Amino acid sequence: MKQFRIVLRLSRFCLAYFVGNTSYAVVVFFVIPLPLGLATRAFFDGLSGASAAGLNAWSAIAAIVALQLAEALAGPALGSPWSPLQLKCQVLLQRNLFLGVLRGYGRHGLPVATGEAISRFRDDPVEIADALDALSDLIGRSLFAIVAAIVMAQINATMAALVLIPLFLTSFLAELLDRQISSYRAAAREASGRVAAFLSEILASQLAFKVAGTTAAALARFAALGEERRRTDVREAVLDQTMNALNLNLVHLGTGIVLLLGAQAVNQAASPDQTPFTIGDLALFVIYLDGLTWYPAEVGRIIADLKRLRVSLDRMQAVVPGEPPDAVATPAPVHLHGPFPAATAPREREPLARLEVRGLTCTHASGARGIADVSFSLERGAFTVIAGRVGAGKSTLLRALLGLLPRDGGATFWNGRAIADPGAFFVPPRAAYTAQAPRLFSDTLRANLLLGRPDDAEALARAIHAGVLERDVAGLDHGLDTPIGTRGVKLSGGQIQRAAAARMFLREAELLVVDDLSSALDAETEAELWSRLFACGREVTCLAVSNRPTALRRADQILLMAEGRLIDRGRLEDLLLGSAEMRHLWAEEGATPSGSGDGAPR
Amino acid sequence: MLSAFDRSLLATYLMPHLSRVILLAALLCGGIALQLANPQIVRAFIDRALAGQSAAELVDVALLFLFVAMLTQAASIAERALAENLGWQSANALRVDLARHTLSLDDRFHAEHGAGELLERIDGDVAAIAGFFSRFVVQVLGSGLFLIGMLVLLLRADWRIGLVLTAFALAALLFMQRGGGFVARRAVAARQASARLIDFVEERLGGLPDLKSSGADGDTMRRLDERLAARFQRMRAAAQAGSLYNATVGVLFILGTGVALALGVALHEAGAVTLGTIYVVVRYAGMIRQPLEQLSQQMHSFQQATAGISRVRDLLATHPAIAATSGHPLPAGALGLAVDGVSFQYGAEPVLREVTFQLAPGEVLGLLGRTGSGKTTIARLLFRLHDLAAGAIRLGGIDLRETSLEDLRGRVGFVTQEVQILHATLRENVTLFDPTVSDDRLTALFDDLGLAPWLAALPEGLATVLGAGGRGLSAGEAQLIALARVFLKNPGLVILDEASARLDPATERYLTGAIDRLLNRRTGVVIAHRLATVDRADRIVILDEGRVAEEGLRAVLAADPTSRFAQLRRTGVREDLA
Repeated sequence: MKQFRIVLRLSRFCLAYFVGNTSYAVVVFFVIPLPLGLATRAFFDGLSGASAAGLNAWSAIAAIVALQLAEALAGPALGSPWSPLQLKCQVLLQRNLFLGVLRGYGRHGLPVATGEAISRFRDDPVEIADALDALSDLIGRSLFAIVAAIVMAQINATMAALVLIPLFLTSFLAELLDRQISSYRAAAREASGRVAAFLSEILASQLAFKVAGTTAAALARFAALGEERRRTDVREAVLDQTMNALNLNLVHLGTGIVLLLGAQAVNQAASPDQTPFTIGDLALFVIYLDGLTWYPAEVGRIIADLKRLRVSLDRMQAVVPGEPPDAVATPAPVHLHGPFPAATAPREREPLARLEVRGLTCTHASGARGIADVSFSLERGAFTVIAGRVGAGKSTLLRALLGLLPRDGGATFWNGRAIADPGAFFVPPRAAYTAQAPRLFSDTLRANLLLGRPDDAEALARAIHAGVLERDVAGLDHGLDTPIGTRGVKLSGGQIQRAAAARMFLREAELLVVDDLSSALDAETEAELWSRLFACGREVTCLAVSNRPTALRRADQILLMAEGRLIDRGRLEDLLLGSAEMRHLWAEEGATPSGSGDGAPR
Repeated sequence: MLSAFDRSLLATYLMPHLSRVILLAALLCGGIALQLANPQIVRAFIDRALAGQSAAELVDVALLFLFVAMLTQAASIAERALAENLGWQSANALRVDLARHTLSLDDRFHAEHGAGELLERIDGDVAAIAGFFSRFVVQVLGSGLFLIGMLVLLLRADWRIGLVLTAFALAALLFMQRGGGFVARRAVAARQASARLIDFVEERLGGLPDLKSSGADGDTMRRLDERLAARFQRMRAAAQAGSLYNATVGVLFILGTGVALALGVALHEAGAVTLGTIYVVVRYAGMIRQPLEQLSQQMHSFQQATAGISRVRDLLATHPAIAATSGHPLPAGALGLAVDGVSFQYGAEPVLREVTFQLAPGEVLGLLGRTGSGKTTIARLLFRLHDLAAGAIRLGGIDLRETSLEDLRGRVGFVTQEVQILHATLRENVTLFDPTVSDDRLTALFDDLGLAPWLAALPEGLATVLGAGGRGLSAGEAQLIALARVFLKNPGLVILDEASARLDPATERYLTGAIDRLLNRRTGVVIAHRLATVDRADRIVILDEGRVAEEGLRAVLAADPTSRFAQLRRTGVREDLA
């Protein structure tokens, strides 16, 4: 059983906690309840004068109190080990998962939707870690089940058999019910998900409903989904309660049987060769039955846990398809407290002389437009602009080149050397990138720009200037230390774009890759950004997507894209002469050779 | 203990189900009586057995025991079903009311709070309140009754033992009140650490391209490690606090039981109590913990619900900035528009300054100007998403503030630049869940807009699922949906904030055709990004920093080479208008 091997591997990973937790389970489920039953028996037998164990009622009370105190204090005394056991295991699984996502992003992107990935990050490790605790409990309870059954059989074999057999029969029924509960639970979760999804849709699109005047209809739909959720949830709760009742009734059923049979035995009406069944025996049976009732449920739990573990592990593994099998459950160093390892040192700089791209092909997984067989090269210090209509494949080209999209073919050469893993290669200080719709994170603006780089005031000032961000920084209440994002200041689209540009410039990379800025920046600001970039004194190699005249005029080389292919290349004036597509773009931009902008081509 | 608002919540959402609340209380009391009866039956059995009664009589007692046990469980199932239904129904009613209220609040509020936060208010907080509805009142009552009943029975069995256990129960209750807060604070800290971890992961997964291309892998892992460790430490501390608390409560009960047992033995040896009574003491001493724990748990879930309730109260106390007036109905047909000295500001920042222009019924206005010049603000004011600071807007001769909001929004169609596409079918995206719109009407509508071929090209027609995970739409296609939504209303004034994104030629053609049809015999205000759209306008208004920089008939302005409009047309609309 492969799952069991994984549980063992994880147990070894958290060995100290696992041993602690198993000791705890053995103490509270076995070491204490067993003598507790015996002491209780001694107590009642001592009182009724049928004492056989040699303990009188007083010493029995002392023993009972001592045992119960030991049981109560065992948890804190052993450091509540079930919690760190599961938590440490979760830390490992979650860390491995996230690391795998980061490592594999260039090769396969994020293979599931973000919401789905989060649910797998949050919920599945809990399921897996639970199996460890279940294993500890199973060990403790199994010991008890075996010894308790022997003790009961020795007291009265017939009665022991009569109370234990229904216990195991009913556990069958419970197993069946359990399956039903799982399917009800799944239905309830789905219904709940639908309610949340619908509510967040109508909240996010509230304006659309206001504009259309159909708020009442949306609320009616919301109410109907809520009603559906109530039905599924109540159904699950009732079945769950039924199962609980079933388990509790086992104790009562057993007690009832003991009473029925004991009615004869206690009265000593039975044959003289039988040992009399005492009140103390009755109390012991009731106590042991209480402990045993949950045993079948516990066995069921570990079986179900192992099944869920496989499912959960597969769900997590599917987020990191590039990693070896069961990699997320592979032991690795984790950090449960500081100090934390510092971010890795920047790689050694290797000056770019020439970048060459051959036959780059990339089809989106969704089957939408991609790019096919794109080849070009760029030299150190050159400004290369990719132009083309919407959907021509410009952004795809950039992202495929950088290894942010999985490629279907093609090769890239850095100074003539083939690059094996572009996602790992095109990072600072070799390359830096500004996406078309960049993301910032909930943190200070400074932390967003640095993202782990050393805090160098001069370099920051240079990058902020190059990103045309200085006025925005000055306008923020706490300047660079202003928290931004969901819990801070909300930046405008243009500010986010310029902050992302500053973040890119801060990396002082050999190659700058810039996607279309025009959706967030007006023509003037974009022009300002380009002129600052080329006035900075550093030798800049830049690959940018833009259709704007200012960029096209500056370009040393324009790569003209249409329908996923590179259809032409050259300088603006040559392309305007030779390419109808270029003329179309130029006209669409409303540019005239003598129009506004910042002058002639360099 | 209950605030006026708590009581009003209970009155509004629980009172409609009063008969079931009473039934639930009855079930609960019955269940309690049965649970209390259980040890009494065993006691009778023990005492009778020791008194040497016949086996037949003892069998009767044993059967009674079994019957009572089964009945108890049946009562517990019925009770749970009733309580869950009650809780869900009242909570769902509250959710719908909250959602209705939230949707009535203005844009500003939604921009500040965001769908995620509001979702948490309406779904998450209400879940805590649902517990309050379904369990609090009934369970606090039930646990209290259970406890009192048990103590009374103990006192009756033997007053000395009863007193000892009552004293321990009171001490335990007191401790639980105090110690529970200690545990709850750690639990809150643990949940926060967990939420911070998930927030972090959510954000970083959303920004993977940024992280990868910024070479921030190491930094990201370090931050993840910090949050994983914080979660580990906090959760562990919470578990330890809980375990320590349970142990302390346990020790109290064990000591209580020990003292009671010792007392029982002494009394038994003195012949004052029977062995059966001692059995009852042992069982009740074991059972006493349950109602006490429930009481203390209810106190804490009440505190949690209180936090949720106060957030819900705040939400309900937020009123829409725009008062829904009722008044003059708007005239039928195309509506004339008069914007008269309108000024408006967001916070301290003036956006519009004394803007004035007129539009006759059926005329189309092209509204031009740079980003931030106030075009979109005018559109939003016309739809009365905000109220004016100064001046007046009249539609069909009636001041916007003197007509009802429903009438206004029914007669004004607004195509926003950013179109919100739901993860739902095309049908639902156009009707926005209005069940009265038939498929035939929708098909006819697409025909009228000239979109029949576009519809035919969709894989599943009206049932095609759009939005996240479904068929993606380009900005132009999204505007087509918005146009269809507006067309469905048959408005007298159309406000159109054109998509600024570049469109592919096919979509552009569809869009141009559909806009033509939509503006046919209607008054239109178009924020234009395309020359074709501008050429359709009868009048032009050019805004600059919130002021009207130029206004007039398009034909006149176009003919005057010194006009700003003519200059704009020469240098190309997009670069300067976008």
